[in-house]
Amino acid sequence: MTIEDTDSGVDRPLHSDQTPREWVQNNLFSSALNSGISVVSAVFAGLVLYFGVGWALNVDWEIVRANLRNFMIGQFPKDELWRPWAGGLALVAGVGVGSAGMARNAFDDATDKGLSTERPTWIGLLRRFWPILAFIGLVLTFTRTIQPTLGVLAGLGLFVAGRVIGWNMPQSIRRFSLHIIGIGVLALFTIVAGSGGLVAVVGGFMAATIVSTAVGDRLNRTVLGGKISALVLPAMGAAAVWLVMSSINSFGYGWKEWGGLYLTLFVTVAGISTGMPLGILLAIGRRSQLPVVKGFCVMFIEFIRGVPLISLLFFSGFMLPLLFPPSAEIPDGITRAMIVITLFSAAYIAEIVRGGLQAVPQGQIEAAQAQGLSTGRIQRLIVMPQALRAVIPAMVGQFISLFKDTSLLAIIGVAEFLQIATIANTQQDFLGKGLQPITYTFVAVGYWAFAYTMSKESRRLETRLGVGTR
Amino acid sequence: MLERILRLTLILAVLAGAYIALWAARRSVKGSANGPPPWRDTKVLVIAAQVATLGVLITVGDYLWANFRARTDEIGLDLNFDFLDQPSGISIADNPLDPNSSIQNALLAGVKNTFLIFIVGIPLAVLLGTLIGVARLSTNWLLSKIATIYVEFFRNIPTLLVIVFTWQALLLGFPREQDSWLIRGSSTPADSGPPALEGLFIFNNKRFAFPSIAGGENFLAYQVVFLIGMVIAIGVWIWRTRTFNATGTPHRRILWSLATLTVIGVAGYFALSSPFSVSRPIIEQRIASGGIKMQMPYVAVMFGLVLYTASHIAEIVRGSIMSVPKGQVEAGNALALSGFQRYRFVVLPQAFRVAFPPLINQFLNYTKNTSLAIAVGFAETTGVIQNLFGQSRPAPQLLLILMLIYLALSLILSAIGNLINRRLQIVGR
Amino acid sequence: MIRRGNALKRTAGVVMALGLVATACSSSSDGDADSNTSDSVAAEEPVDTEVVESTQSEGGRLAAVQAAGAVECGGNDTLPGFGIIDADGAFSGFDIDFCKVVAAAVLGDSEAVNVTPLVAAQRFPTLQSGEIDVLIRNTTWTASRDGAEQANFLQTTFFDGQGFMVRSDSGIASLEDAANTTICVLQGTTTLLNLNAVLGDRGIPFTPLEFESNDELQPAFVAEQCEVWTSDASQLASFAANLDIDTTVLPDIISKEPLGPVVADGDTEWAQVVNWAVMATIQAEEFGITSENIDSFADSEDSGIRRFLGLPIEDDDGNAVVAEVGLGLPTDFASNIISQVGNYGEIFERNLAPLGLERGPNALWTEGGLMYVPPFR
Repeated sequence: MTIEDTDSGVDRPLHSDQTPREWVQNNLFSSALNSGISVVSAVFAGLVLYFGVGWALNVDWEIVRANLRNFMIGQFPKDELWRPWAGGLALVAGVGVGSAGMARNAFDDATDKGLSTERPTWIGLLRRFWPILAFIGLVLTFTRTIQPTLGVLAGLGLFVAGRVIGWNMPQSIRRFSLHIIGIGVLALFTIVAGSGGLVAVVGGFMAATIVSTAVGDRLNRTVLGGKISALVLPAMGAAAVWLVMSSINSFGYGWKEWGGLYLTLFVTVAGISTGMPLGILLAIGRRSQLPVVKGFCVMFIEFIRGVPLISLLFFSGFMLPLLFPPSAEIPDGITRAMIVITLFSAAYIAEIVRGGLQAVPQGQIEAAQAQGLSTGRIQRLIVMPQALRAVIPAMVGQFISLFKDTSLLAIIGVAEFLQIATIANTQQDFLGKGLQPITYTFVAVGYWAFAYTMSKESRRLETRLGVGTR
Repeated sequence: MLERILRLTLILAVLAGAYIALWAARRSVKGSANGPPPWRDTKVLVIAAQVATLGVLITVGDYLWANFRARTDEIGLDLNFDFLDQPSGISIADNPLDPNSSIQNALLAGVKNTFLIFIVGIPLAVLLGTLIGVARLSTNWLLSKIATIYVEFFRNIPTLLVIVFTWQALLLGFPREQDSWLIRGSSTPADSGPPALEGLFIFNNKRFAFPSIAGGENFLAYQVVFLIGMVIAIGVWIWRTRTFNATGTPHRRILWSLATLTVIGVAGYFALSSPFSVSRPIIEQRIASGGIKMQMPYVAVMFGLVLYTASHIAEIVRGSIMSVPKGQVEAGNALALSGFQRYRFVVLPQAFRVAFPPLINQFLNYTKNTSLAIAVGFAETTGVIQNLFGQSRPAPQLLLILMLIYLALSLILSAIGNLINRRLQIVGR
Repeated sequence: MIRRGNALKRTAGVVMALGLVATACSSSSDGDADSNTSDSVAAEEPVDTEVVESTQSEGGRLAAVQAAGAVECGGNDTLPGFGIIDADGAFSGFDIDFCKVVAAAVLGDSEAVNVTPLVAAQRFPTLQSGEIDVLIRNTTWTASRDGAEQANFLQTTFFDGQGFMVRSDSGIASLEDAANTTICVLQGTTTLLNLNAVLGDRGIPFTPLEFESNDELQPAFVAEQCEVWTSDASQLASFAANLDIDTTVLPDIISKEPLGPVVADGDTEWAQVVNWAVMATIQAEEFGITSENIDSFADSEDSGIRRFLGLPIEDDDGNAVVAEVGLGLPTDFASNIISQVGNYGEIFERNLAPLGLERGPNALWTEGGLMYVPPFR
């Protein structure tokens, strides 16, 4: 019987063949030097734990309790709080269904190919996501009413139900698992902030791909049908969705009052998703043979990568308003920061994707050319899937990095997660009491929970995709 | 904007039309079999694409520039750099910067501070990172677990928080100036004000002071002697290497060179009769003199960044060591190399080659992360520029200067890195 | 095929094409860059005994605000007493209350205000670009800001000054004693500039320690990393009241810091609207009108008060008319302000008194302070 070691993805025997005493002997006290190191380390670790846990349990966490809503969602008005909750539940349901669908697809794929693989288990999910669950539990201990707990339980229930549904969906729906996750994200954003502009565009794009894939099988048998399914139908689907979403734009509340952890997560997800298409284009442009295109892409990427994010945020605060025509309305601070973060992510993603593109063997392209595929088809069907598959771990690394870097938004006055700690320390009840370590520790735990989970997932993906073992 | 797009499209259409007309005319004159028409000719398409791209870029750039000029004219912002000559009103701790000197000087002082964080911190980060990376691979379970926890802790919290936590730890861990920790020193109470402190080392939460060398009468002569000694030591190094290459006896060139240098240094010291003395730090009436002082915010920023970057470097080192083929390690064992020798001669040189490009990336990140220093009170480049923003100095020019400074640092660093990388790749396959 | 010839032709073609494109694109008259400043003339209405509708201007910021239905106010979110975000997520503070005063005056609803938190360096760029209608963020009135920054400073709401705070047991009693000390400064305003100017003139050397936020500055001061904390006297007082250690504020005030609302240059109508709205609070305190007792003034015999509150005044013929001063504000703007937000004294009591601040120079002129406003006639 084997279990999956979530650290390395390698199967190892459940029972070691050493007795506990032997294990201690071999691992901790195998030599004089080793014994010394073990003793010193044990003492050090013990002291840190003792003082750390002792401090955490003895100190007064009232400042966090009082500002919990500020920490989680910033200044979002109290009577609109149903929006983030509803949106969050929609997201959780979408992620549950979609992730189970993708897992089932992978499982079926592997079984068909005869590779050994195990079904995902609830215990496995728990082991992978325990930091986030622990952090949510910690936050719930600070709440004063029962509603947040009920909400979280509802979310868990939806997730479990979604997983079950997603695992057992028919293949025709299961192949849209990634789109289902996307629908969840869009639902969240629509419910909270309205559906105009970018959201409508993304929604339209997703509708286009769904329609094109669903209908494509039947139409792609003829050349005309292929063109229809590739261009006309997606365009119609996209336009329809865009019209619908634009008309219900006023349903949302707008994002001016967002703040706290919610804003941090949103900026990260939005930054990476808007930066990714731009980054892929930049990467392709950088590898192009045309000097003008290549020169521009190189200059852009090297410039953005060479300056600190703080200076780019200053740019969004001071220079970007000056680049709009004098009679136009200047977008608010968060929107400008999002523009700059998109450019920032695009440059870093471009470098990552460039590495992936370099990793695709030239033979693949030559074989595709021998088959008579056009350049566009080669990129879309042969090169990109391989390149992107190879860089997913690095992409997750970039996601984590951006997540941590959002703490710099405080420089331009945006009230994201870290800034709320400063705001809490300025309130009259807590002014001058030296409570900074408490708030900063809470913020650090929050960041750590999410970033650690993501980095473990990245390493798990790395092993699963077999990156670096070829 | 619409106007510009239309104008651009018109120009491009006219150019295309002209070329096609030219081609048609040439074809009708010369006859057939002249190659593909322009709209299918890759040579033409390549140029056309670039012309179109350039057109779009220029149009967009011009549009943004026009908006920029219009808005800055509206608010009366001067777009020159004259403000650089005005008095800055900025003073920086432990820096002889005169607040009445120009803004240029203040910026230079800030850059010098950035450089200070960088030059001391990077070697420390590499050292700590390598140690922790190796510790993660240790057979001692406790040590490897602690190293893992270190890496997973520092890698997953924002850099700003690491710096702030380090600073808070130093602030609370070290005593105030009156109660400084002195090593081989004494504290004498003064009639008024704080006691006078002097010692070999002074540690408090304002500054860390170390002893340094104060030149005496013959210091210049001694420096010349030392320089000569270094040249001779290099000569010894080369001699020992040649001996090793010729005969195979262990060169021990480090020992030999150091020994030569020490002998010449000591001999010079006694021959020249006290060319220098140890300058012990003294703090009297809050004025610190003698020795080398580091202000605590500087130590906090540097140490915080070292801890943070070391966690990333540890992962890189670990990955690079694991990338060395197992066969190399086994061959080393077969040759009866000790653990240390195996690391020193077999594993680390190969691992270093793999680790070097990501290491350069981490150095670049370190440089960019120094911009967070003002959070804990250390005024480096970004801090000075933020101060100037607060004085309502022109923002676009300041921003340009800030970006160019960091861009220059990054480009120089990656150029040096690429140079070294290329040399590393030449050796071997 | 003669490669060289073709290459030459190709290059020439590219250069020519690029040149044409470049000249065509960059030689542009900027059709989109028209300036947007429009000076609207305040409607001139004779002050007579007829009931007149409050006039709305044709262009300008007042009309824009009335159309938008909310006042865009630039404020602070990390300054104790003046602008903070409380535990419920709402803005509160002295400056925030004055934002509400403007909203109550112009729109009749003190909650019709959107506060944008700004860092110090963003204050004037945001005002100049038109993102905010009024800047009420502890901003000091100086000549260069009136001039170069194209700002228009209005009635000072708080007279402050840069002061110094030390521990009571540090033995520092005056600035001269503070020679060679480490002085903690908050970054982003002219504090360090003033410090260097004044201490430089007096020949007092010091070591500056500049922090980005009070979150680090305050522990540094408490742990004695710096002996002196310099900031606006109001900030020092609010921290002194809350710190665990005994502190003394030195008697030296080295700069004048009159704080007040700011609007952008060029729109006199809007500037006057904001100015008179703010001054109404001070006038109300002078009249003794508070949010609690405002109803009792409905029957007041004092024509000055009646004019101020927009109450009808009976003339000799028995007609009741409401005076109209022609600012573009509704006639009962002062009533709205006082009943919804309060008078100056109430605003001060609500936000600054809990921090231990005394009225000092911010008292009414009748009580020895500097708060004196022109009459509402």
